[in-house]
Amino acid sequence: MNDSPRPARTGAQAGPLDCERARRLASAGFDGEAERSEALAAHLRSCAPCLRFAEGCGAIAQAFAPLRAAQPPAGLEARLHAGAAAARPTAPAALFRLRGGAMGARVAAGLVGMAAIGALCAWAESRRSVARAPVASGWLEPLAPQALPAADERLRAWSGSLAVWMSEERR
Amino acid sequence: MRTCYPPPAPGVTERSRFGIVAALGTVQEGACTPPEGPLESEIDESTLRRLAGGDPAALADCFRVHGARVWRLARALLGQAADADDATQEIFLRVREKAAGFGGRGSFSGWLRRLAVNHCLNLLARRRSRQERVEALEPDSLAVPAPVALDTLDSLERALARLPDDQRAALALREIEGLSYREIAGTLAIPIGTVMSRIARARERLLGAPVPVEVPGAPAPGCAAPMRGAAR
Repeated sequence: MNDSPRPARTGAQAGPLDCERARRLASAGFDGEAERSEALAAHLRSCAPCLRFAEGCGAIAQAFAPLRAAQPPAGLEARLHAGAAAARPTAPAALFRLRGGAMGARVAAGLVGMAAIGALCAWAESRRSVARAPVASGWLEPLAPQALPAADERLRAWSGSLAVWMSEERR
Repeated sequence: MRTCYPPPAPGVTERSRFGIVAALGTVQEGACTPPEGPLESEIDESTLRRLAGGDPAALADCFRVHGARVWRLARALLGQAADADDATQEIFLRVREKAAGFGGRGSFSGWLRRLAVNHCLNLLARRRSRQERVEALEPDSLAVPAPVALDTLDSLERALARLPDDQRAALALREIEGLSYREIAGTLAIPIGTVMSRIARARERLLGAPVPVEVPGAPAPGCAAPMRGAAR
């Protein structure tokens, strides 16, 4: 791709410009992106609207001055950090940014989480064993409540209810 | 002679830079106030690594160097300070997410600028689809609204809000960032000729001085210039 600015035609080579091209050249010329063109100068001398357009390019640049000088609100940086803290990156490096007082809290939180997951897994495994144990000849045998861990009264109750339902269904 | 930003491209003299308008005595003082700070402020590689790792201090460094520029660009593109605040925050969070993917090709500020412009244009597209603004579908076929006095920041923002997104982006990159047409073309991934057209059209609309698009090549009302292709 040829990415260099298209050079403006010189007056000797160019024919009269239409307004659209004249304004493109005037705008680019204002920005220092097109060289002076005699054809453009001739057009501007005879075209009042395009002359006003060329004049207006400076006014527009001046109108942007307050925006160029505007500053973001003072609280924006703090807001950014709050947002960043709420949306921590998942990059591996973030896992190793454990420093100072935060380290203890994070390690403790991790251990608690692991313990919770372990307990959940144990409970799920016990439920699976409850479900697997009575399988025999394609039918779920009634559970014997006394075979369950005495500590888990809720599970015992659930198993007893299940046995009652199944015996009713079998009848 | 005043020095305007950016420095003239090679082969473009200061005289030719403003030859057209300066000869007409229309460039007003202050029209080319250089933006604050260096245009190509960069953050170093270690800061970039820390940024990718989620280091808040690196994010703070990046924001201090680039935050104001990104915010101004977002404000010019989105038109409202509150939207610019939100967008700036989102842009820097995305910078943190994507910093690891910045391969060092080109400048960080250019990469950040592209990210910021694309983010703002996406926000505008979403906003437009919500509002279902008909004029955004064929912006050039509509009548240009009457010119407004661009004497305050509010009036400028109102006028910018009436520009099609692509024209506003090109003009903002020129007037806020002070980019050359080549740099704007690279940022927006469009040809330089398109940059030239978009900026000229944006200025036409801001000035309320459109060339009628129904008759290509037609002179503007009041234009006595001979037309290209006219009998010689």
